[in-house]
Amino acid sequence: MQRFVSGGAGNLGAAEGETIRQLQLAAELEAFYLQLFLPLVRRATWRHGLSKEDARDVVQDAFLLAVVKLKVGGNAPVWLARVVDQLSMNFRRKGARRARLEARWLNPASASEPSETDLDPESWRHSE
Amino acid sequence: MITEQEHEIVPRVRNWLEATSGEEIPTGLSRREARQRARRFLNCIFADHVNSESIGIDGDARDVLWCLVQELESEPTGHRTFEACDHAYQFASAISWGSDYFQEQADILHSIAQIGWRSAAGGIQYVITSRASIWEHGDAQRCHDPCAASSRLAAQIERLQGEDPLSAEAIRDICATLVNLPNARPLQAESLSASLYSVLTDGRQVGHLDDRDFLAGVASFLGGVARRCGGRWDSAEVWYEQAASAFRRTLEPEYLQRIEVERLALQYVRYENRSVIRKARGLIREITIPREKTKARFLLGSAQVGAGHFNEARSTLETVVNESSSTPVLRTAALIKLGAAISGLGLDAEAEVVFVEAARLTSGLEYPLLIGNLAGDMGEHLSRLGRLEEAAALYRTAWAAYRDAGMTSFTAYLAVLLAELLIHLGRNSEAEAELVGALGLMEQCHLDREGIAAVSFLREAIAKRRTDARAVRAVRDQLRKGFR
Repeated sequence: MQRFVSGGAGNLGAAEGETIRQLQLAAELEAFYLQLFLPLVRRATWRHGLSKEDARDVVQDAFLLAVVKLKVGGNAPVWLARVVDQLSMNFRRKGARRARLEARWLNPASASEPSETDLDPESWRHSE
Repeated sequence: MITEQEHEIVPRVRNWLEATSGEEIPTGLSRREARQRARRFLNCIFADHVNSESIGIDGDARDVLWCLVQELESEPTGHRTFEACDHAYQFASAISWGSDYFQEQADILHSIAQIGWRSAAGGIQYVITSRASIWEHGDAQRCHDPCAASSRLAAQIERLQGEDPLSAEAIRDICATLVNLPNARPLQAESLSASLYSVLTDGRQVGHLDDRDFLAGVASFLGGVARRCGGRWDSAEVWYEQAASAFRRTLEPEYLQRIEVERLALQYVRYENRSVIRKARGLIREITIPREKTKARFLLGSAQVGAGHFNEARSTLETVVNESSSTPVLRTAALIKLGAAISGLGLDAEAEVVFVEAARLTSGLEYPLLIGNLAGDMGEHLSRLGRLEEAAALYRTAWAAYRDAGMTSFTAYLAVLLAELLIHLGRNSEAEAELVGALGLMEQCHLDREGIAAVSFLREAIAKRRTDARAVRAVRDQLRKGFR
């Protein structure tokens, strides 16, 4: 639980109620971390081949979407898993595209001539 | 303005995002460390040095198991990999996972089963085909002698008590016979599926890889179907959920589709026609198992009949009849409902032609549910035409068919329909006799408070010899909507 306890937790005499609230919040965050965050990070890592750091970013993005889009009556685990799957796939697709472009531009010896599309800045925007 | 409410999890997510904004959140074991541990673990598996006490299941161990799947995936196909997957599956299956919001354990087991069966003699296709034969067998064989099948199955399951390990093939054969029974003899099917499930989960080895989970899924599924057919609807859902948990861990989580269709059937028998119509359309789009798609369409058509949408029902059910030429039971059931839809459109002569064809097919199948449905729907048709005596005779046939099969709720419902008809015919004392016989059954039906009140009122009316159509109709309505 230590992971999510903030500095004010030690100030028992001053505001016992606040401390209890903080401990409850810390326990809730710990539970959230174990039940939702880590399993989704593992999903993005092992099912989609992302690094742990990229997986973390993808999962946090999925949570941001959930705040806006997840409505009452929805199946939260299924929804979150699908969003993480989709974001992970997009992430990989973008990574592969970036790697192709980098190979072409940073290592000209191994790259073919740039196509017209590569030279069009508009297409870069779409690819990102 | 109506606004959509946010999901109950959203405040938790918001708290999380606020607390972790700008923080480096730990992400568990690194890939490198997970790989090293998974490699070591795999070597232990190859050396047969693994038992379920080898690791505790904390977050790190979950990373190791996910990574183990990748390691197994990279092994060459062959007997050695099959054996390793089998050990890994039994190990991961025995772990008590604790909170598992995203079904990680099931995902891992499914992946190991896939890799393992790929390395088995015959490959994945052999496994899929032999498992699918359970259901095909059910269609082709029909159910000529359910009583004999029931006692034969009881003896076969009893014999399993003395075997260790259990043969997956032998249990598949049992399932292929048991699959016929829920519609024909729900009470026996309920008890047999429970016995089979208990044998499968008592800790003995069952076949390889996911064989145990698959067969436990089938036993649970059939247990749920039997409870649905027998009117024990509360416990049906428990068995569906048990089946779903088992199927998720197997090579083919597609079997979950069967459970979704079965849940739809449960809603249909509970007269939740609108809900069935709404859900069935989505399900039909998603389902990939052809027979289950046809079943979902059949339920849609039946619910459309129940809701009085006869034109749509006719079109839906005609599609089902065309799609189900190789599944006689489903085709017959669809013809019966098609007859009801056409009758609802007032095309009486055409409806009778369809009913006659359905009756011809029903006579070749010993399926009390079909006999009951046919007699009930034809009775309603004749009743609408004012041929009340014939309708009463058909209701009596339907009642007897449901009673013989132990289908309590349907038996009670038909008795009430029959009594209502007899009152219309002015045969009140006969109606009362029917109701007296059915009161006990009604009380077994787990009615809600209103239903219990309606039955009590009816009991009182019968005692005073003042039974009237109003009291009977009240009970009928409660039976229709009040089953929990």
